[in-house]
Amino acid sequence: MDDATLAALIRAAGLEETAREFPDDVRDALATVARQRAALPRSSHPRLEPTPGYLAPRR
Amino acid sequence: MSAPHQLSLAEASTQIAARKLSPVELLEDCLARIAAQDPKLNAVIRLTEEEARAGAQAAEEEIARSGPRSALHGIPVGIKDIIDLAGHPTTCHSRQRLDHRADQDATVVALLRAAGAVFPAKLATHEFAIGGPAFDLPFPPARNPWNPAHHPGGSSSGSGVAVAARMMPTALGTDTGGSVRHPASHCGLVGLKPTYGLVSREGVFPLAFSLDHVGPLTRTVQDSALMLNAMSGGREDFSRDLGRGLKGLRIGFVRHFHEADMPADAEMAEALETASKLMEAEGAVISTIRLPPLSEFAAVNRTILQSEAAVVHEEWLKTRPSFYAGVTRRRLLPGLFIPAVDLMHAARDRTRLIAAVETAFNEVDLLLTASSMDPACRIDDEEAVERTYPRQARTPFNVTGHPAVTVMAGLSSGGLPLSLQLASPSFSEALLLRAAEGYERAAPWKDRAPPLDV
Repeated sequence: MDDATLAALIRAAGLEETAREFPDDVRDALATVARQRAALPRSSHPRLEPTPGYLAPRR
Repeated sequence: MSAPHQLSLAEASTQIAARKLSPVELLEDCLARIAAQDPKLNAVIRLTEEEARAGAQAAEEEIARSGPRSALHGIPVGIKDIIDLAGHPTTCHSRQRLDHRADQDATVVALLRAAGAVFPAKLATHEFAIGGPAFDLPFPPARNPWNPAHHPGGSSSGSGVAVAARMMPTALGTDTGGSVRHPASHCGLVGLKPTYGLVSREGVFPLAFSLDHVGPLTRTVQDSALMLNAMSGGREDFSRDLGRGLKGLRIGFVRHFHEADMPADAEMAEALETASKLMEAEGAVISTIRLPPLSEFAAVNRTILQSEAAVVHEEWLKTRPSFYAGVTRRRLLPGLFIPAVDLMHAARDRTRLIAAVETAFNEVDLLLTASSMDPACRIDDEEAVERTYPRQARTPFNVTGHPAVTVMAGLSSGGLPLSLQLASPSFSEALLLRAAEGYERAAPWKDRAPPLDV
């Protein structure tokens, strides 16, 4: 990942201060997520509902 | 006659009810055991002995007057320090929470208190139930009583250590990716993760809302049932089928978890085979069954857990990240970078994984799987801890919410506990515990204790 992208992602997450104090931890976190994304099953089934699902409260 | 601290919950309860053992005597013996063993095991973060003494004294008087309220009356119960005990800090083993003080008991603690339990100690955890064993925290990490150079499992590390070391007959833990069953596996205990929602999480510091469960660590399956009776508010007697054994139960052995998906240590694999044969000899019908690969459950659990935990920790990760142990910070930070669409993919795939396990329960009554793939590694070997921590088959049942229990299944050549896991349909804990007790009774491990020198 290039430095500009890295900086943009850190800014978007609001982690500028944390990245200054723990740059390796923040860089590792981005690498971890990139690795994990590759392993995540991605169904293309349009009607597959998430769990837990939303239920309107009953009175 | 055994010293009181050596008694199981059920044994102590029977003696208390028969007026052969007083709650005060039991508590004092447990406190003496803590004083003797904890300096080398670090299970206890905070002793709450004065309140416990008052509770034991009150229990003794009430029992003398009108008999015990329940099997828990006068029984010392340890509390993992992410669960609120009124009037005491819930530190979560963290510098972030040293100033905290709980105004009231967590609901599960209140239920145990109403059943007559007393609470001698708040117990060590991996920081916020997500870190690993860490040496840069305000409290040292708990150590395995079978060998203090080794990791006790986590995150309910102090709960596992305290019960295995006979400091108290039972303790509460929490389980989001296996954190009750992990210390049970490594410490030779019974660790129960009840069905999601059966035990209240009110007053428990959250790790991941939709994956968190509260469960008991005990030395026997019967004790686990007695704890669950009280923890769930007495709505059901989960011990009702104990003693019925394994005869006729259809058990699906999920071999691919530990043979193909994540090949287990040879001794662990052999212990699982031996256990399945013993169950068959006891009358169970064992078949091999397939579920989705472990990697799919793990990916879903990880994405949901990190996302939900990030919501809880976002502010501290931004404003005082140095207050965490390094390992905790590194485990929490990824959650702030997970795209929303990934969280939704994980939540949708969770539906598919639940359906797959439900389909399996159309064919069998219970599932038999590995719990940990390896015996406990050394606690000071950071690389080994990181490598072995995710080598487990517990997260599937956090993802699906089905109840699961870990029991001891042997000892490694290095003298460390081996384990197995059983799972059953939702809200069928009586069946799950019946099967676990049937195995426990037939196997030779129930009375094995760590080789402690006192």
